[in-house]
Amino acid sequence: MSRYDDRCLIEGIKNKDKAVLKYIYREYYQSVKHLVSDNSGSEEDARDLFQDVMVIIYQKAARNALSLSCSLKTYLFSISRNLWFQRLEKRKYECHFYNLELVEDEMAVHDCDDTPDDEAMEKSRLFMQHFIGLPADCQQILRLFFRKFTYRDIARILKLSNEKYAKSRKFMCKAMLRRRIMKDPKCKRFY
Amino acid sequence: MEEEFKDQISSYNQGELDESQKKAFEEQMAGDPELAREVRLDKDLDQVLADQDTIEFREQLQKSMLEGDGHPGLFAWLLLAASILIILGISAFYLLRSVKEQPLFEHRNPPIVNQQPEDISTPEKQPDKAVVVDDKLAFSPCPELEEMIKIHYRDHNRTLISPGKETNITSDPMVLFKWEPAHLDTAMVKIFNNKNKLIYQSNPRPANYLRIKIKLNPGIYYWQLTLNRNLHSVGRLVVDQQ
Repeated sequence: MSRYDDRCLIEGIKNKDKAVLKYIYREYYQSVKHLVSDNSGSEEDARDLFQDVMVIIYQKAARNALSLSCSLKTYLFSISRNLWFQRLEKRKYECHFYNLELVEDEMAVHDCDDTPDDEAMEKSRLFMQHFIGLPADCQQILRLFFRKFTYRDIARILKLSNEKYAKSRKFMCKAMLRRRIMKDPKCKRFY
Repeated sequence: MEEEFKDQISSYNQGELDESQKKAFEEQMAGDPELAREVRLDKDLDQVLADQDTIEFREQLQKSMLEGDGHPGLFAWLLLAASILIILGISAFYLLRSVKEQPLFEHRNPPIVNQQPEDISTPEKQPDKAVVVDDKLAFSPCPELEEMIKIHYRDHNRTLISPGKETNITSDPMVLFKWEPAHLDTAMVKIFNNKNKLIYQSNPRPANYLRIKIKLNPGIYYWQLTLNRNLHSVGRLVVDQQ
């Protein structure tokens, strides 16, 4: 497996480079998984957390607002740690650091992390899950609409009869997405 | 919730309703919490969907994570099956051979005769003497580990700041393992007693320092710090009598 330096990794994240994302997942996911599993979390929690942290890094990198004063691995782990403890607090779990008789060891809280808006992250992940579960044509129409294509262009690209039909189709798809989200029990935490 | 208003949720959030429609919608929303809830959801949804780049990133990341989990291919399964067959074959060969070589009706363990009964009586207690001997032993250094301290394995990329080669523990039971530069390394601490017996090992985990709470009987102990699977340094830990 090839090795990347942090600059290449950040560039790869910015470009949504599949090989880089796979590399980061293989190299860094285990530490996030240990953090979560050592502190009352499940494998699913760890995967969600890893995704959310990667999104935070991507958004910063895309805005060219990512200036690291530590390694990417440290940065990723610091955000994961903060975000995970925020989530634990929300769940009102007692946070057991390390269940050892002899030892209490702590991870360093590095000063180069950020405190993200966790609720927005969780909502975004929830919406995303339902969005990718929509029929392909609905996904396409919504993608084009939110990429600021006009209804006329949407009708032309998707070979729909006219722009009026494109508009009603977009409304229908959006309503379908909303209904699916509203039915999801996770949605009750936010609405 | 009235269907007419439900259909207007997106139009309302996107400012596509005229003044009278907007007013009617807001009046309806004021008395219909379900509609108000869906309007809020729609607004948030618009915000998330407007960031199509992030959506694409999430999709790509999810795919990469699935591929990164690396489900074994057909070849890997065939290799595993072949290995199991070979192991079974070898085991069967040796099993059959040992059965063949063993004469029938032979006692594997000959009966025990004329053996004195085992002494199971408890020796007399000598508490004072035993404690004194134990204490002396607990404070006698372990030559092998002392040698290791002298060699003091060191990774040139990391300098140990704390603890020192010899640390005395009296009142504060915390021992801080700190190194510089403070990169996130896979760190692990082992503690041995003065008989070179491992008495504690932390789980390897990414950290740029480790803090360990020591609750040990008085005596000499040794710590070993491993960074990124390489033994970094060794030191002595003396737990004093209170």
